[in-house]
Amino acid sequence: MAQTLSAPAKRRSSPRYRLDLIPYFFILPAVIIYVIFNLGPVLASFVLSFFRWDLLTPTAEFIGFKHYDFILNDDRFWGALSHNFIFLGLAVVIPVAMGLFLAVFIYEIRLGRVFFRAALFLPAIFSGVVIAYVWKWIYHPFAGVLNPALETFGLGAFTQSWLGNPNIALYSTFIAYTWSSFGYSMVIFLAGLQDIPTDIFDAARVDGANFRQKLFRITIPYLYDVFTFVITLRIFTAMGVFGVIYILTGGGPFYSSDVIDIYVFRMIGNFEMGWATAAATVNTIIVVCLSTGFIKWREWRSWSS
Amino acid sequence: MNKKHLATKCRQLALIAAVTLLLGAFAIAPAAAQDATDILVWSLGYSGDYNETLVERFNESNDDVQIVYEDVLTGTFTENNQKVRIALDNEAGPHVLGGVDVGANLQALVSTGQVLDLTEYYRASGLIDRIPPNLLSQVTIEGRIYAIPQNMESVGVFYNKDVFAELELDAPTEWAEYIEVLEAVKDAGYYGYTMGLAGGWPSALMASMFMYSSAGSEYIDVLSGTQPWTECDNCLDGLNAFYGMVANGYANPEPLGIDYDQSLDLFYQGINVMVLNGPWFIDASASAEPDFEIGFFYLPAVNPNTDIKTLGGIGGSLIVAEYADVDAAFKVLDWLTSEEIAVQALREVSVQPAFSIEVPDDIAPLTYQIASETAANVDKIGFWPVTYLPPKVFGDMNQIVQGMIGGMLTPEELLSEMQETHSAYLAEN
Repeated sequence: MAQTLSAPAKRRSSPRYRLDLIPYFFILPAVIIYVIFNLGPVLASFVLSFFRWDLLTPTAEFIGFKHYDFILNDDRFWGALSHNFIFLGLAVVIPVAMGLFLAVFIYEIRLGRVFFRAALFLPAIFSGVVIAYVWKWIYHPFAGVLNPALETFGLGAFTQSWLGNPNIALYSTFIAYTWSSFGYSMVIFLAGLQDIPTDIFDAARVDGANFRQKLFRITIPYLYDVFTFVITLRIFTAMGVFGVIYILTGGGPFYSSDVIDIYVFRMIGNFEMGWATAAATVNTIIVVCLSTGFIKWREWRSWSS
Repeated sequence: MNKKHLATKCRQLALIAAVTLLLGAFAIAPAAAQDATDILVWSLGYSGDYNETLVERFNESNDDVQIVYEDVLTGTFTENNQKVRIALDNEAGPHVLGGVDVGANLQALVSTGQVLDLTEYYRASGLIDRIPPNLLSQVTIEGRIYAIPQNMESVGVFYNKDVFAELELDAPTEWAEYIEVLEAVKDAGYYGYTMGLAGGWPSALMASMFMYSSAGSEYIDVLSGTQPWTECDNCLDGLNAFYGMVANGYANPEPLGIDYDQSLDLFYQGINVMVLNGPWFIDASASAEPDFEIGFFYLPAVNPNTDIKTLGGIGGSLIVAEYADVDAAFKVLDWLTSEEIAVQALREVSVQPAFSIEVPDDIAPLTYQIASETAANVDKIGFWPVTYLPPKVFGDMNQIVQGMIGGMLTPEELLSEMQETHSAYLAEN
């Protein structure tokens, strides 16, 4: 009896042991790369934030939380962070809504679908630097096309220095950001739309549902997970926005379009590595909290409903 | 071993020896040609293709030292500084480097032991007698000299000669005359002062130009942190004069909406009539090919009693890496600081050398005028603010000046903001 019991036990443990290790073996290269190129630098920058170091001096001076203390008492850090939040607030609404609207539009049309899909996605494949320079000339107060276009359409009262007015500089950079980013949202929504069973739309059509009803009763509920993904992506990009603002305004005028990554970049340029990494660490913590919180909230909403 | 076998062995050995000698002779010949010491250079302190032109000339005229040129410094000012500092720290960078900024950047390189002490070289080569004391002081740290000032820059006003002729205007020499010129230009439908501050960086320089013009060496004390910004009344006068360029409509509108390059386009297009700039503008303007001739005058002093005539200083300096072959590196320095090469640079790319030369009178008239005036006023140059200010504070100053030009700060508030920023940095460090 004892032999009968022990033999199957050995047979069960042997394959389980192999099954446990083999997957780890396959993901090992990816894990090594992730640790070296992602996790390692993040941890290194976190450690560095407790030191005063100019990148070159052989020794770094440990100063504890002094950089964090300075940053949290620096009005310019809070100003930059508030601009990130404004950017975020707009980024999770406007490019997402545009992406959804255009995806539904492309999904609905039959003629020219490929053309519109390519044309609308085109800005997303341009380099951020190219986009920023294009918009720099669009906004040019003398040679740009935006002000003359507004005058042509009888909106001359709205012409102004789009990048030089501190009250609107941040929003002007956001328009350039939106132009380059809605295409991604659109493509992801379009992929999500393909997954919705067509018979549901057919049934809705038979039942006499109009466009608005189909959008709010079928499309949006079915794209629940896609929304989560797209908005999470927007959180990352909005909190890490840099290139477009750096080229268009450099964070000015007078810090009016400053964001955390430009703040960090300035510190790196000044060889204040500890200071820069402390600011970057705070930003990373905020992004992780925001994105994780958002995903958890969506999961909770999903379960509760 | 029989005789025949021995003979065969001897023949084989002789053959091997002959082949070895032959191969050795072939190997020695190219080795002798390659005996020259290579000096790696990322920049000789000049812009664009002129670096390569100089390298070719040096290599053609020297056999024992050859310059190997790598065009690495293609990024922004900050990026290039980072490349240089990291490369030198790892002994993987250039042996000789031109165009290095004095001030905080040079101090950082010296503090980490990355650059060679050139004090003895200065004495041995006689260079010490050829560089004005105020320039030499900029490359002297704790009594030792670590760099060679290459070019001397001074900022002034370049103007559209055709418009000046059309309006029958002369180059002003006093502040009141300058304002009259600005008024006349404005009345004629042009803009007199060119301002493009969107990128941030020209803001602090322009404001500094006016503060030097009013406060003179008192402004150096402010920049050095020995006098509070808020107690410099002459600085305030200078700032008011600078702000007046915008408030009185002398400058182009929307200065915060366009960057430096875009503002220069306004000058080239004949919309703006004057532009504050350095001698490098001669080449920039020639490349842009405006269809008018340009002239030059120093910005008249806001305060006639100021002891500083204009803004400027060392445009770049030469350093030698601590790990370089000293003899070979010094040979490159000897060549670069020779009068012949300095005059060539002045003639060919309008770069005014920092070491004394006889300005040749057969060069382009505008280059001759600026070179002569710079040489004559070398002891009245107010150095670039970044020579004294920590880079972080200088960066903040650009933004703070934008705040004044944008009407968010008054000139008094600008001084308070600078005082707060500067003292906070000094307290932290």
